[in-house]
Amino acid sequence: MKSTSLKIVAALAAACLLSACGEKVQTAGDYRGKTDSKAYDANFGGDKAKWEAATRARAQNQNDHKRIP
Amino acid sequence: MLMQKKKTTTERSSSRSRLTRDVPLAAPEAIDRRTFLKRSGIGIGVGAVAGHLGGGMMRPAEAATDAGKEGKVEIKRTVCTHCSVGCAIDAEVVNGVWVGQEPVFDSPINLGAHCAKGAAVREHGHGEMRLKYPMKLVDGKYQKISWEQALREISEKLLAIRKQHGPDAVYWIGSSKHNNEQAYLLRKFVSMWGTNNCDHQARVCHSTTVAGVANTWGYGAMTNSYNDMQNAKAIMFMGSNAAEAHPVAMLHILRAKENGSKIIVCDPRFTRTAAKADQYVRFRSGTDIPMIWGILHHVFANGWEDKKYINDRVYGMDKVREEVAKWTPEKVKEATGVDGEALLQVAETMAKNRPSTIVWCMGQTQHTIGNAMVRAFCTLQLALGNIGTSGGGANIFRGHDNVQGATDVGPNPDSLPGYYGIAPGAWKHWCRVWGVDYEWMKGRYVSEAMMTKPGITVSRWIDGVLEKNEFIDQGPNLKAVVYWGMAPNSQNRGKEMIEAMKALDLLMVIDPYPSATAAMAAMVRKDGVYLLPAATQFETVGSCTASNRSIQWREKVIEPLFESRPDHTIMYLLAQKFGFEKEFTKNIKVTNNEPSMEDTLREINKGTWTIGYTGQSPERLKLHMKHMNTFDVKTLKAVGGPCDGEYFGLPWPCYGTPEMKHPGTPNLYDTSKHVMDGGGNFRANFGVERDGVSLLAGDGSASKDADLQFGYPEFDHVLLKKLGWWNDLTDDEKKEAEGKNWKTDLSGGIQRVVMKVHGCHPFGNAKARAVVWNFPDGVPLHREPLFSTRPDMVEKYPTHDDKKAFWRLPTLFKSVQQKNKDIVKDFPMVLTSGRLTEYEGGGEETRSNPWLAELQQEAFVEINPKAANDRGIRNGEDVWVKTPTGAQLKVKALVTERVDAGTCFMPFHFSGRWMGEDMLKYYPEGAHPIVRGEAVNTATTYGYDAVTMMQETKTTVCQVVRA
Amino acid sequence: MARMKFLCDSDRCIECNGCVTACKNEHETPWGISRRRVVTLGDGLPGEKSVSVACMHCSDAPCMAVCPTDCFYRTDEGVVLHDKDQCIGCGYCFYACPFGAPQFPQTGNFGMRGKMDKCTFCAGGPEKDGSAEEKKKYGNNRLAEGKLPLCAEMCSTKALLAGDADVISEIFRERALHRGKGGELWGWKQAYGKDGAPVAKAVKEEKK
Ligand code: SF4
Ligand code: SF4
Ligand code: SF4
Repeated sequence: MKSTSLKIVAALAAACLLSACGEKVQTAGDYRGKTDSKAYDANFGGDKAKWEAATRARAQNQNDHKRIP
Repeated sequence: MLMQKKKTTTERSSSRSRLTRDVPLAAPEAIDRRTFLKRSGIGIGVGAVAGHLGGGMMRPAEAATDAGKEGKVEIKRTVCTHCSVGCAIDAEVVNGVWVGQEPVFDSPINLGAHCAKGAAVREHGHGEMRLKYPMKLVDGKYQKISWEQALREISEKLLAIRKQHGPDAVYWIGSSKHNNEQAYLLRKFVSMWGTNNCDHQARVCHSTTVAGVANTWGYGAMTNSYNDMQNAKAIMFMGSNAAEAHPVAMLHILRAKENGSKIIVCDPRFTRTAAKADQYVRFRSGTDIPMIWGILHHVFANGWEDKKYINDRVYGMDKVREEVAKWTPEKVKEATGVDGEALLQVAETMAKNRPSTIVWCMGQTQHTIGNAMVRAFCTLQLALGNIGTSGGGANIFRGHDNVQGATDVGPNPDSLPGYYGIAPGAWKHWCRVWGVDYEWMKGRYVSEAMMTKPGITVSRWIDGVLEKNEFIDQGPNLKAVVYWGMAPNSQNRGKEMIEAMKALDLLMVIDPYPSATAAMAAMVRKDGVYLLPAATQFETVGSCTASNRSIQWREKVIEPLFESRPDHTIMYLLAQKFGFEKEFTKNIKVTNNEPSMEDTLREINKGTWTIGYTGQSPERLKLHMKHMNTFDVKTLKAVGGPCDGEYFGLPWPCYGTPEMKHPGTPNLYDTSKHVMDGGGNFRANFGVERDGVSLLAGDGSASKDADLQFGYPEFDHVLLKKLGWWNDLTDDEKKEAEGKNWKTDLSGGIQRVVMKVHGCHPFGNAKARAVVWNFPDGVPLHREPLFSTRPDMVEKYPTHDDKKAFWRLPTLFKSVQQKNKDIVKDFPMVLTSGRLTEYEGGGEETRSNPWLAELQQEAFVEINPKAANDRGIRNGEDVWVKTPTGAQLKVKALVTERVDAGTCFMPFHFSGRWMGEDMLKYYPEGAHPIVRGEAVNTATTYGYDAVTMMQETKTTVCQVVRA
Repeated sequence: MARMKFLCDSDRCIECNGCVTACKNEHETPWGISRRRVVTLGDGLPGEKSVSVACMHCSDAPCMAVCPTDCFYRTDEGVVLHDKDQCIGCGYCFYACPFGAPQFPQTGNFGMRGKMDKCTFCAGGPEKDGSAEEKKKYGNNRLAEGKLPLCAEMCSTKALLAGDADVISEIFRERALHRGKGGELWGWKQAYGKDGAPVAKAVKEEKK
């Protein structure tokens, strides 16, 4: 029960966000597996902004021009 | 169908056509190595291996696999053990199990990057295919024995041999994979055993470089660094395939290219490095000297040489000019196959984009004239004024992770640690450092004569066994050989090696893996072989020296797996059996039979003044490892922080005591810097004058702000007194420095005063030598290899005369060449060898790692489509590669235009198959490499360098036929 | 909104397979399962190029479209994942995928991960993030730790970039700027018809 409602919320959220980009929704309805948590749930206390900042900062490690001008 | 296709992206399967559609680069004929392997049906064997690996594979790390990373994660910082780039690794350890590997973005050397080998090192924490306990060959089968039994039996046998035949009857092959401390201890250990018969990988890797380069300008090492190549405006590779051999070096090189640097690759083979080049020049294998002289011809013809530099800093360039004048474009073309236009372009690129640098590797070194080839390179760089400047230099990429360090302080047959040599003076110096009596030391040897005579080289140990006793320059033939961390398949003449193994009384392998030695020995012997499991560098601590001379400290990641023990512990246990453990560890704390690596490094610091291994105390190195992020990537210099002003890893020479705080030397011989900031000049090591010409640097040429702005000889107590600098020493320093020179003054006072007070270089300030008069060809001359496909060239450029007692053995040149003058009739192709990214050296360790082995599953020979078609060979078919030794290798044909129609290429990392036979049954059970293949060196021919006894493996001959 | 993508700079890629073994290491995929591989075009010929390929985490993912059991889902960050408990190992996705990304255990009885396996963008699967269960089935979940795919983080030349599309394209743009010439991404020429990839000049040995 709980998982279904979560799923719907997630699906709706995804639908809103994706439709903004004009993309077809993929996740809604069809997926029949278990629900996954958000990437920022387990270690970032659900703080999406914090997680995004962390991964963005981390990505700069791939930027050799940052370390070596 | 489905199963077979999943790795075959480039195959003409549905997935490939989709992936590559519209991509014109995908020439229909071009297939890559992996597709090739797939097509040759190699997938078939995989199931069996996978099945074998199954369950047990994860054993030591199993707990971790189940537990995820839950639990307290400890981070241990270590360094990749697979090549000399020295990429740092952060190992995540939970409850003593190595559960994860994270990139070290902070490392100025690799910025977190790894090639296939480095990205797979955590498999060492599994080590399923390791040698797990001591073993003994009984009736042709390896049986498990206890450490106690192994040490007892081995030492009894060795002592019996020593008693009957003398200490020179045992040959000790050390390792470039030992850390500095272990390599150093092994030289000490072998000395106390009483012989100079020891060696390691450097002999067959860069011995010609070390000798050639050191004799040209001072030190036998890469002059600059991987990092510094970012400052180069042109980079020329010759005999180096960095993209596959030193992949992370390409991070710096490609950045240089992106900043406008021009990349030139000259190589008989179109390598992956060549694929990234602006200009590629294919030339005939073994004609490097005509190539370089051909380039220099254009340099001189256009007046592009650096005249002031040559005048101030080079001796003998006029002699080189005479030789170069002979190498007209026509002659160069005749020898190399390259037309003048191409070399003019190379010369122009190198001359007009200065500072330009040059890179070489084993493509140059492994020749009968390797020492001359490397000197030709040096001369080119000297003519262009490229040595001693950032962005220039001779960037010699070394091979193993610590081959530079093992060369510097390890088991060399002609020198004690630090290139001190083995003359009585050198012995007295080291005896003082070790705290042992010189007379006692002498007593360990047969005589002072044997103590000061260079030992047999690892490239020739087989002749030490097989040669008639009256022809060898030591008492006994070799009766016992110890392979302590080296692969047998990296030495040429494998077919004869088997005979030598058969003839020995005792063969001992000390290695984390049984190695091909174990299998080869079991193939021809019933007994007399012992295997001792050594721990890897992840299971101990210690320092290692990267190619750029930076020294890094490894933390221990995990405890030794299975029953393995660290190499230095094994040394100590054997020393105990031989009765010299007290002398062996006089200044070194021993806990549970394990000598302290920190104390050992301090002892190295205490004695290795010649090359500046004195300033790198364990404390300083550890500090660098902790604060990697503070170092600038291009200069390697720390900007602020606790290491402020120092260069990463205190690249040697780091002179003086640690307290003197020398920052290390990023680029050798750089006069634009003060000596206390890593500056320098060429070394005065060959006298002050030759034939009336001064060998010292010209007036005004000296390191920045030196008190002496002209050439000067090396410093000793006399010179110090003459200059009136003696009183700059403290009273304690004076006591020690009296009668000493900069290399033997254990107080470091002479170095301190000369450098810190007067800004001068302790080794003097001289000219580099374009003519190395003490070598067979002072000015490098082209000489054809012993086995050549060009009789006309043999006629014109014959090799050296045979030598009688050379490193204790008769060594043949001309007689072999003459006998095989027309060998081309039967063996019309050149056979050369090289590396693959996934494997290292002899390859047993890396071929035992399933993550790597999966990517290269079969040995192969690259052959040009024309040569293949002429022989009716199709891609992927089995072929026999035959050589004049009578050996024949069964490998897959990889038909490709990488090689020209006259050349075959084989990777040298394979072993475990012997002339068509799988050697699986000869390995100890469950400790065999996953991938086995023919070793190219089973078939390589005779041939050795005329100075260092480097083996010739890069130019020999073969024939290829369908199997 | 982060949108996770890979980008492989074929001017940098040297086919060293660091990315491939980094993935093996991180996720301990069994022999025969390669979530990532390196494709070389024109191998051994002037102009040789390599590019590292894994699941591209397509916006309009064909695997997802064809899966008969609907085991695929896409995370907020655009990572295409699947539920192995739902997967029946039919292999349809493999046919649909333009990159051959889906992998299947080679031996008869499914290996320890069972079913289809593919690149997860190091984001695990639907099991609890960072759990042993997740690790066993899908490998490590680096994204949940705030880290990025190990294949890219360990790439020997920083050819392979992974992360938020905006961030990595910015990194690449900066790099292209330094090069002083157009981006030479693999496929760039096809897309934009630009010339300029330097082709190594082969000087062939003449026949004697
Ligand atoms: S093998 Fe060399 S280049 Fe590769 S990761 Fe190790 S040190 Fe770096
Ligand atoms: S993103 Fe992770 S799972 Fe995907 S290929 Fe890279 S390492 Fe493997
Ligand atoms: S690690 Fe990087 S350079 Fe090496 S093959 Fe992968 S993408 Fe290419």
